[in-house]
Amino acid sequence: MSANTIIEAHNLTVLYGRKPALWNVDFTLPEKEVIGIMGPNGSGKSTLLKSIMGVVQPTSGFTKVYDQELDTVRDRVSYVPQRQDIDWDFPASVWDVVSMGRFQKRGLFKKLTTEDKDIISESLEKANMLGFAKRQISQLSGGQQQRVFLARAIAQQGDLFLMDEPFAGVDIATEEMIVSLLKEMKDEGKTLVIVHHDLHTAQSYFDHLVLLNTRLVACGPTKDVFTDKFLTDTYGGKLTTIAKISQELENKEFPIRHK
Amino acid sequence: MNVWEHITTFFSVENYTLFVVSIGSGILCLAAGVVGTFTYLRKRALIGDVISHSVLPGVAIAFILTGVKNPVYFLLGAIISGLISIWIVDYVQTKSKLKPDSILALTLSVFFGIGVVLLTKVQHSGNAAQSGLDSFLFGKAASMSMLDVQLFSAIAIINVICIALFLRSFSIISFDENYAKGLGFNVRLIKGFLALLTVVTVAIGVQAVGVVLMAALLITPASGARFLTNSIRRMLIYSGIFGFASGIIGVFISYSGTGMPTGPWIVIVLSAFTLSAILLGKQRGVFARMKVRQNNHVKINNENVLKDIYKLADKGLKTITTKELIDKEKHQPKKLKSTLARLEKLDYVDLVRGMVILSDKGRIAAREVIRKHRLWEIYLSKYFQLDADHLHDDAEGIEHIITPEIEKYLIKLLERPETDPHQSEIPY
Amino acid sequence: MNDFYIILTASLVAINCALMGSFLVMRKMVMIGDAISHAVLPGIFIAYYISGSTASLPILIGAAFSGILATLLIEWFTKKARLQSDAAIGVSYTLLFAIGIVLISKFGANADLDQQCVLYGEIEYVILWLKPVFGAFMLPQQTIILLAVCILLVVAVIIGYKGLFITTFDPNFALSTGIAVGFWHYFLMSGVSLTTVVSFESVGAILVIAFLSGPPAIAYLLTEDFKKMLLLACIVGIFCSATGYYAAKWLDVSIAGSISTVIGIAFTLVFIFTSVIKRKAVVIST
Repeated sequence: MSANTIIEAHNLTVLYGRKPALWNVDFTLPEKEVIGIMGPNGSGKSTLLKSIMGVVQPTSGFTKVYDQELDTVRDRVSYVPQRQDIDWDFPASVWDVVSMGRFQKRGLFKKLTTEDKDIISESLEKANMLGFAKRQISQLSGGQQQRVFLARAIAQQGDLFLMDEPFAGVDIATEEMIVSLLKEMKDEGKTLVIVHHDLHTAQSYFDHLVLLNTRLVACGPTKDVFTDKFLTDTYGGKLTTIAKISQELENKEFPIRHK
Repeated sequence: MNVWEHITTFFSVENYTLFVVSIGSGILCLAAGVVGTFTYLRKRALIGDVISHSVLPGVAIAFILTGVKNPVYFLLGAIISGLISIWIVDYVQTKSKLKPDSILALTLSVFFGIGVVLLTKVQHSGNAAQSGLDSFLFGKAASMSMLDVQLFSAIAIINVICIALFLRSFSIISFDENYAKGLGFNVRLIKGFLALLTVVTVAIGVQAVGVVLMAALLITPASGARFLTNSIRRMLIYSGIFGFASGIIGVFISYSGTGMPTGPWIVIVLSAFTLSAILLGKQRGVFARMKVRQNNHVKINNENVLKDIYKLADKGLKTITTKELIDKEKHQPKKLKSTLARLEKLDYVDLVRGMVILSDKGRIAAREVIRKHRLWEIYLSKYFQLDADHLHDDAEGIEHIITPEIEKYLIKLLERPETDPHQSEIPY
Repeated sequence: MNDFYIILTASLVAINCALMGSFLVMRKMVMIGDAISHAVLPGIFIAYYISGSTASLPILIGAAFSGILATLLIEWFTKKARLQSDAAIGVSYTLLFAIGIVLISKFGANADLDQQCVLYGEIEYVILWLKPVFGAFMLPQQTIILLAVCILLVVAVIIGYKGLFITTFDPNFALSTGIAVGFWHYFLMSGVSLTTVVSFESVGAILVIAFLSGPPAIAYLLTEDFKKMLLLACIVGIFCSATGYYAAKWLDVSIAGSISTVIGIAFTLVFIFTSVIKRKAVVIST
């Protein structure tokens, strides 16, 4: 692997039941860039982020971050889950949610320090949410919810950010705000990996692209990967065989590898 | 008294009470099983629990208002409070941020609490006729009267007729409510009608097995039946049979022992049926799935051995021995021996003094596996960024799973290629 | 004095259930609590039968054992047999409850357990077994146990607050930061089992469910701060216990039933106020 590789996936396979969500995926991602992960619905984009973050366990293969096991570098990685994954009617304030970003550094059993509180305020400031700190999360708009999640990730103070669909269902103002925030973070030397589904904005947002359809279709600099051939391969329905085989594997309880 | 005597006494019609009780319980469980199939399919198993706890206040109020122990009044009260409970669950769900599970738990415990309050009020008022109300808590299958049996039979018949008449509507809303709406079905009406049937069945069943166990009568038979079939019609039939048989057997067991309660025994028998179905079901059963997995391994072994024999023959070897398979293709001697024996039985190979000879049938099968393997390698290399040294391992797993339809599709998609990425010929 | 003992006992159950129930409500797992509270029956009976006493330790162990059995059974049904989850809950707990009832009717003729007690408890009788505490106070045996569990739970919730909170709100994020989500799940479920089991004898299965779901649901509608929700749920629980007790005394009816009813009334009022009237007000103002 080259010197500036930040994430490496090797033969990564994730099964849900018997059905592959990711299948023999191999790639390396470069440091200090904005990287997009794209593919049709159900192509394993979220699963990829989750398995890098250890939220789901791979069936075979592995991922490495900074050429190490995730556990040893976990404090350098921030994760933004999908907004729809949680119940926004939960009785909590914006401050409560963002302060979760400090739990990891401070531990679950120690009080947050003044330093932590400063970091939380700064993160809220960066995400343009400081005025909403006391606000209940149930009263937020979709865009504001997304910014709360971003603030929480910033409060983790990692160098690598994995974001699951941060642009899904947000207003244009928020999208612009997030884009400029991402640019700022990139200039600070952070690496951003973003699951995205809008092909129109892909070229302007990302330096590097991963095209996924259960298997890896292509991975590389956007100008090399964002081509008609790769996009048709990813989205064009030629890969229905993969879905058919997945179905067979599930129905017949077949082992994906027999060795 | 031995078992046989038990059975003969039990089924002698002279033993009138028992006959009545067993038939009554059987019919009741049949009705519940049939209606419960839709409760199960609509994933509302826990609603059954709510309804059965919620009939209690209705019964008590019916008694307080009329002052007599009339099953018809009781039934009416039970149905009304059961329907109210369903309505409350739906209403609170649409009007508040509370999640369904909290609403279900709250509704069932509060309704039951109100019922208990009213019941104790009646008891403490010293009304001699109140003794029968207790049966709604724990059931009174053992003291079922002819009137009860007639009532149960009537309900069972109504249920079966309604379900037969509206099978399509019920099935479609259980499958997908929005789809049903799109097709122009009056979803609200159908749901309401189904709810009514469920509540009426529960209101009656509670008297036989009690509030806690009534949920089992609805949901347990359908849970088992689901493992035996994929058709709703058959599921209804199996649920009904499970219910009916459990009713009769449960009564028989509780009759054989002293002081044995009927309701719990019915539920235990029912659960035994369901567990057996879950374990033994032909397609979905736990054992059947284990068997499928085992067959897969057999298939994989067979195909791998055939393929390797073919490959060795392709390399020009005239005689292939088991030793060569072990040395050159790294087969485990023990596994190879049993696989070869199996292949010989299937006429795929002939074993002559340590030599392995492919039959025509074996040759065709081997070529098929190799063809699928190579097709898959082409497919992968064409559409995915995958290093050439990864192709083979991947195809090793998938060659066994490609069905004839998928193979046809692959050949068409790849335009019937001649050679694979390693320049080996594809045997058609 | 009897009034005080009974209200104290009921309030302790209310607090225990409010603490655990608030987490269950937010995790959408209240019906699992319901299942456990029914399924502990066979364990309680077997422990009673083997040890021959109503001493609390064997009973607790027995109940905890069948509580675990129930969760394992539900898990086996859903994961291995692939039964849908609602049916798995329904089938498992009714089966265990039925076995429990059969055992009680077969062998429990001289046991203090009967079906009635299982469903709505016998809080009236807690005062029959008074024991001295610290040499000075006399407290019912049941109440002492409930008090001990209550202290334990309060300490556990305070110490484990952050862990329980983050794993309830966003388990995926918690996992991504390396928190052992599975540990906190079992941490909570042990608390729920313990609560269910110790509360079961005094107030019965149904009031346990009412306490687990009612006060937390009411508190959830009233506040949007989880800490306040915990506190408010406890207060609502205590209030309903006291009101329910006096109502029961006044009307001469079952105490457990009366407390459940008061919880229902309290919920209805809060629901109408927060969800129906407030929402209408919003509609009018916009």
